[in-house]
Amino acid sequence: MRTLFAALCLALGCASCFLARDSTNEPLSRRDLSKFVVGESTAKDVAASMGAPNEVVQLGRRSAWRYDHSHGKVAGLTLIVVTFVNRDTRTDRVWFFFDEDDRLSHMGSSFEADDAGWAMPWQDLSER
Amino acid sequence: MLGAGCASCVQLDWSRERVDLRPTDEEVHALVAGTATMEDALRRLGAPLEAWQLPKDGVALAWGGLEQEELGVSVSLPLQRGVDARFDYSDAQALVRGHVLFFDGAGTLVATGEGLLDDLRKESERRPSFVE
Repeated sequence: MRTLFAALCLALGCASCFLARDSTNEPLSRRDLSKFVVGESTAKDVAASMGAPNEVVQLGRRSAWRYDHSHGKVAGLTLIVVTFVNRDTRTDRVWFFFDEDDRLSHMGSSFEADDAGWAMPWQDLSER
Repeated sequence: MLGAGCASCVQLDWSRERVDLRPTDEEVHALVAGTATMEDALRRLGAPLEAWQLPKDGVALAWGGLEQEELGVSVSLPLQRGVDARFDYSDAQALVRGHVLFFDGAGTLVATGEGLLDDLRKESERRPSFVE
């Protein structure tokens, strides 16, 4: 009994867990996107409202700008000699596609940064 | 004592990292080559991970996610004072899998690809006929 109690105390004493979160760039807002109109808005309008993009891709005479914001959650658990760590990162991402006259031709957006979850490695976070 | 002693020489790790989710096959296969447009794809699948240029004013858009799982065992044996023998074994898999949609200059879907995004990109850049 004394041995069991000592083992329990040791296990509890050696166990540790941690939670951490991080993010990159400023959050994106759906509301900010509603002001852009395909066929009317220009690259200048987007830059004035959204600031500098995270990436610019040249597509021949056309171009595409990417903005993103990611949010990551890390959960870890250590039991004496065993460590479990899970990291889940989700991203808000917006692409603006411009024609050769720098007029907005297409726009695509995903807002998933708030869906990052705390989990252990064996847990499924694949719900979309 | 035993646990603490073991912890100094043996460590087991199970870590998993997930970054974004790739679209399901159903979502992608609902876009039919020859009829679906870039606008349809962006509306259905959201913002892509990557975009790159193809010949003849074509555009490739890639959607995907990273899933990496690592099981590791680290063993450290003190042989003599000041010298450690360290053995590391890791079975790591780095996967950025997903779908790439290839559009012609008019923005019509002409082909799709599925697999490792890096491979699909390299293949489309190395061999333009790959997307035709």
